[in-house]
Amino acid sequence: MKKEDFYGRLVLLPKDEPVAVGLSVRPAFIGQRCQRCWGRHVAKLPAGSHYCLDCLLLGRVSSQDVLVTAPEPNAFPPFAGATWPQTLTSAQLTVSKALCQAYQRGQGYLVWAVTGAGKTEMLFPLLNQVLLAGGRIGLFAPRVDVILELAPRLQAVFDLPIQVLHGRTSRPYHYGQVVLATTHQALRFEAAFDLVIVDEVDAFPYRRSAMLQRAVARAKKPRGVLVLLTATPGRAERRAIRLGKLGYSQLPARYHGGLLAQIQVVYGCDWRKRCPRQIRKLLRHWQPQQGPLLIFVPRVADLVLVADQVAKETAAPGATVHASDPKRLEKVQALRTGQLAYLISTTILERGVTIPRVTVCIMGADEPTYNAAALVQMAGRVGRSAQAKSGLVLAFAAGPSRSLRFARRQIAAMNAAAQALAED
Amino acid sequence: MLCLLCQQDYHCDFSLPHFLARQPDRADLLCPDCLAAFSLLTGPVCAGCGRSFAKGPFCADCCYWQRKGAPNLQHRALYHYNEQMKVYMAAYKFQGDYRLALVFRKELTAFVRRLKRHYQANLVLPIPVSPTRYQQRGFHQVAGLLAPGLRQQGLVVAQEPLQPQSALTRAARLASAQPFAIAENWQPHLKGQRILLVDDVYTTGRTLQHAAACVLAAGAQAVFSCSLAR
Repeated sequence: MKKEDFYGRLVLLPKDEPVAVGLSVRPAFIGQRCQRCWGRHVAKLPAGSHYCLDCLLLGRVSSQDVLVTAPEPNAFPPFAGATWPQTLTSAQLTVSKALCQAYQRGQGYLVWAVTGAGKTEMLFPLLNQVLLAGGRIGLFAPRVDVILELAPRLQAVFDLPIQVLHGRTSRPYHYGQVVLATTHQALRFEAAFDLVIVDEVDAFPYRRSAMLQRAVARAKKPRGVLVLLTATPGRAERRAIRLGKLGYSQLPARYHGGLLAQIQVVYGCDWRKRCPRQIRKLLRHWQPQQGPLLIFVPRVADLVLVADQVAKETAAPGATVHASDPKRLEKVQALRTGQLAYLISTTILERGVTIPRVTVCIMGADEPTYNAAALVQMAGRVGRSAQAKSGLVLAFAAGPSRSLRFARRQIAAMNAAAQALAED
Repeated sequence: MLCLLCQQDYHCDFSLPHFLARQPDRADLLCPDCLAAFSLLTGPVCAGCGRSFAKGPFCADCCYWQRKGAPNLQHRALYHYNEQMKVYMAAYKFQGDYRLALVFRKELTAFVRRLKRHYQANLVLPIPVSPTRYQQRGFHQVAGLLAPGLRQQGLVVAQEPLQPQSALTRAARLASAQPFAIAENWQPHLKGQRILLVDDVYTTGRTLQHAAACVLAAGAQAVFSCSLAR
């Protein structure tokens, strides 16, 4: 391994392996506490050692191993600077400038951006500034899909090698100025980045995981800056803003200026027994010009249930999709092109997909599978393109629920903020 | 509960026996979908290596072994070495999740005991692992799949292999040299005995043939073999 592979990295090696001079070595375990992920769930091995169960997916850490690292020297070739088409809206530009100023001050920042607000483009000036100064950037997102979607967009603007890291990659690590990875990969870094951006902090798994949040903080250099992006800020974030620990900006409007579609709730509906009449009406004489239907269900078992019911009411073509579906990407594409009239899905499609002119139906919207963030994200699937700036979101619930109330309030608040901005 | 292989959350039975500190059973470790993806080896098999084979007593590989003068080990295996078994082996051996040993320990132990009776063997010997590999991995992958009584270390690794078998191509594996030796003071226990060798996976048979040759040279009367997967 080259020395640069250790810069800012926590490399796992067996205890007895000889290590080059200048690298710092420490035991991977202190007692039962894994030093990579701070977890204490271990399993014993016959040879007398034990290994960590909490971060096993990233490779087994055993008490016979050590963690080796070297300080981050920012040994990068000079960056020539990037250019991109200057199509940022004035709202995006304002936030963008605020981010750059926060970085200069060394202050952490939170951007509350509605889904489809154009967060990525808004980051370009900040990324450019940091790269020109020779800083190292770590951009983390919760899911592989999001990473794979961002990579080409970033690569097109920034002409330097971008390290894409996630659990499914077999490509070896190379030392690079920009790292684009899933949040779990943050566990492999220590004091590496001058700028850490975490996208979709309201999504699983980052939101509920103290370990991942700590990992991201550790991956950042002590004087580095943390930027958080979210569509639904939670209590912890709001408190940090109130206490002045985090700078804050809102990006309430979508890039095309349209408002978020509010969730229309239909109560008292036993949707598991029969297909609601609203869906029947939409699909009965479906034509491709109407735009497709995206139907969310709370459990995997509901996919087949709803599929059967809908198939009874319409001859229009449809399909089901779930997280481990090998044809997931093709089915989403078929929905876009009009080959499918409807797609029944689990929450896997709640984020990251853009389907023009789509109508969203959320079945069992009051069930505990969905929290407010999930509902806001699902509703955010409509109106993402300039041709259809808004759309219909129908939520079918047996009765009222806290998450639904919360989600509707957030959407209303963002829309009010967007309108206030537009009036300025 | 999270499935150890696919990490999906699945519903499992928290019935009373579970709390009576019994050993976890495979349904406590793997989800129903992962469990169903293993494939038991049933039907007609080759009399030499135990692979699925219906076109005669011996497959082409075993005819090759016979031409080389190798003994017929009458190898038998429990499962096909299918995609799911490969995933299992990757997680168990290479990633090193020792908990996975419990998925097959009971079944493989029962299988080995049945075969021992059938072949009238006196002694069961697992294929050994080198001391370096044992330190690295933290466990003996074949011994982990067997009950403690079947883990006799009569066979040891004499020469440290430069590369693990898994890193070699088929041709390279077939050409590898004898890595095994009899453990200290074990030779008298092997003389005139009928031995049953156990390995985790039979791919080319090279490993088992080396082990068999070693044991026969020490004076064993007969050698048989079996494995979890074929």
